[in-house]
Amino acid sequence: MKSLISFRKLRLPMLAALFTGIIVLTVGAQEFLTSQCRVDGGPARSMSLIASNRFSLYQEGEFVANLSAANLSVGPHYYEVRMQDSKGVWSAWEGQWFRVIGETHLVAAEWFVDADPGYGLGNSIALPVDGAWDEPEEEFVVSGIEVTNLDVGRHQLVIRARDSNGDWGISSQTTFYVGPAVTLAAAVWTTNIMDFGDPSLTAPATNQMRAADGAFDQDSEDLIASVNTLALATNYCLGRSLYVRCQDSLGRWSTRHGLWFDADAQTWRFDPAAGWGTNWASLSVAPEAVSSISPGDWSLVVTSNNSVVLGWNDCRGASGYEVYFRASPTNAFSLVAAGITNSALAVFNLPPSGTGKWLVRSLGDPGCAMDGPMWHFGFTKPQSNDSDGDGLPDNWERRFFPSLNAFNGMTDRDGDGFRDWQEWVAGTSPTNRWDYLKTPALRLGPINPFLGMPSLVLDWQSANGRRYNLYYATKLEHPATTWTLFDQITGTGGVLSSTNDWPDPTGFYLLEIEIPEGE
Amino acid sequence: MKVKLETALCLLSLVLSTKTPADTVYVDQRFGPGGNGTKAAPYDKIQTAINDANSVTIIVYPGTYSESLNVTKTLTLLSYDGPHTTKIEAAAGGDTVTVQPGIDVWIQGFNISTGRYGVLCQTSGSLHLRNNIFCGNSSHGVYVARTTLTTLPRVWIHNCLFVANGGSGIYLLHVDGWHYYDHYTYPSVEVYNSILIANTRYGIESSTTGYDSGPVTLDHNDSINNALGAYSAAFGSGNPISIGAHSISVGPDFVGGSANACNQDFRLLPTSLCKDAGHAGIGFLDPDGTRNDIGAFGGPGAATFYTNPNDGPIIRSVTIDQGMVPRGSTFTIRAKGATR
Repeated sequence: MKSLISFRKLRLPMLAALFTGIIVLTVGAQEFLTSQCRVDGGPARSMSLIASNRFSLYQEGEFVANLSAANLSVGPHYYEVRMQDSKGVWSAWEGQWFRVIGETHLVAAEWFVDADPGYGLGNSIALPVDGAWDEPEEEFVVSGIEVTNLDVGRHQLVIRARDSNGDWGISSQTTFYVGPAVTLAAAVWTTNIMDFGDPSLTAPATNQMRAADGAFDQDSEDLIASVNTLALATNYCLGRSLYVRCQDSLGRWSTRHGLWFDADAQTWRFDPAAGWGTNWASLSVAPEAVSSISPGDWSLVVTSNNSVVLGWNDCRGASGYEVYFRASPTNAFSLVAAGITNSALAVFNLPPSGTGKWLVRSLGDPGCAMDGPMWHFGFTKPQSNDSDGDGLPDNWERRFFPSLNAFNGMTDRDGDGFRDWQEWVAGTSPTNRWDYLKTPALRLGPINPFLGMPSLVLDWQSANGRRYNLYYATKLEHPATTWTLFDQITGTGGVLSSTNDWPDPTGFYLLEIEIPEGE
Repeated sequence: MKVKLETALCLLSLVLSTKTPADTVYVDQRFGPGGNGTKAAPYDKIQTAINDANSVTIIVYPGTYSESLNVTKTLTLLSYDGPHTTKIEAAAGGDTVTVQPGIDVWIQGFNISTGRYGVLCQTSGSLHLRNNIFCGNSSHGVYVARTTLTTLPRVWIHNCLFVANGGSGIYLLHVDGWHYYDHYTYPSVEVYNSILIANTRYGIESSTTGYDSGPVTLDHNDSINNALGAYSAAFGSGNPISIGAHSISVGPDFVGGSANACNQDFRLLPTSLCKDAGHAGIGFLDPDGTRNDIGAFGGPGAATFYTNPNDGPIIRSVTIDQGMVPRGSTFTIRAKGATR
């Protein structure tokens, strides 16, 4: 039995030897199951078997696939083919390059400065101006070029683009200059715009401005010039235009743009962002010296015959003066005297009581279109218990010092910026530098239930017995602002409050203090 | 004058029409005698195809062709299925292939065996040998001889296998110069990416130990287990001819084992040190795009019989109908493959 089995095992090869050709064709050759192709490593797709031939040693198959080039970009591509036999074994991918032709368009661009980093290694330009890489010509914008690390000198900005064939185009380049940091180097002012007619002209040395911090070393400086108004023209009392321009460290003069006058700081400031254009500001030059009789001066105290003598320094160039008076902010100014040419005026028949406001207006040159500046001040009526005639009651003076000679209206014994007559009016201490009339504080008050908006509340420290008149105006028309009496409150020694719940409480507020009769 | 011009045009047309448009001739021994060299009726002998006056490219289908070839004209001799299945076996004593001087010949994809020399090339002309196996010839696998000082044969040997030949794998014969400074003058030979193994003498042998002129360039070859050595005395470190910085001497690890029999499978195992060890560069890549494999089954000449390590189907050709495809059009990919 065992030998029989061995015999049968040997029979098959023997039979195969007899029919070698047939056996090889049907058993030896592996039939194709499939063939696949792909482009650029994309998804594989099947190919169609169009011919098959059997040979003694192998079987051959021919495959074909029709592919669309609609979605292929112009340029080189790589196609590959692989095949699988009936054993399920795949061949390796084998392929070749081919090229899709057509009109090319730009697909990328890059830029670099000076040294070429190699194609494709520059700074990429994400998109052209129109937002799409789809045309043979595109417009690019290069921004954000960092020059911090570039040496001073000339540099090349190079731009190049790549088309849909994958080819880089010829580089385009332009030269730019990196200079040292530009700072302001000088500034000048003038009242004559014609001085700046020629940017190359340098203003006289006397018109030089200086940097507020002492050195021109920044690209933005606060500029200061001390001007003696006596050096100005004879009609300096009129409003004038002051022109300023500045020069940078490269020697370039600006036009007048970029300069503006900070009224609060009383300085010119330069705004580089505004550039090198034209700018100017009006300048009103006041009478160069006010009267020796300042507001609150003792000599402004109305005399016993209800008269006062006003004096002021003559304003050069002024053709005359007008004097106005109003007893209350709610009144318009009334002309008291006009056309006077001297600098002193005795005014009689003043109101018997209360404070008032005086306005002295200088008149400009007849040829000028506008009047000169104004000067206003307050006055008080004479005190019955003022034995030294300084406008301060004797008992108030003695409350702080044993001698009546320690005070007069012009002194400021505690150095808090308020003269002693102002301390008396405000009810504050002339010997305590922390006690003076403080500007009312603003805060938001309760919600107005009808408007749904918060009200506006003004708080200020009061003096006992003083009467506070709070006035309101929507705008300032200096000096002739007409005020509306908004509130009247008698002081308690504590904090007083006044609430404005109008729909629009914004505006200007004036706090006036009245001294009760007999104090 | 008008009549004369028309006559001249007719004569020109006649001349052009008698020119054979295709010079490719086919050989397939399975068809037997009587063929005319066309694909439908191929010759059954290679020499018949060589003798065909129109043959420029000769494509030889698988089989064992027992004949000694005498190549007498410029031509390209291509095997269709590679050296594994296409053999030229000479009668004992004769040379398998003799290339006559002064012609330009390509021989690619054959197993050339049993002759005295596998290929004999001498005196002058150009010879390109690619993806051939020279096995079991009684003397040298390839014999290149410079016979004059005024002419020289130029031979390029890429991706070939020289195994078990009775002489050396490659033998270079010099000619003595007329003058003292020109004694050893060699042919021009370039050998890349080839395996020389188990030959009775050397892998590569020169006729003298000296060398004076004649460009001999070797590199990326694997010469191992040759009886007298990998190279004869003129080659290698300290000798006048370099074997190349990338040449190696390792066992190639054939699929068919280490018997080095002429009928064995000489493809490389995936772990062979000869894989991807051939000459770098796009002109030497394997058909799958990887670096050249040393041996007869690597390099671009193996395109029609290249198999990947998993022994899957062979892709003989991959073509596209248009190399330049208009955008938006439809293009056609064609491929031909084979399974064994």
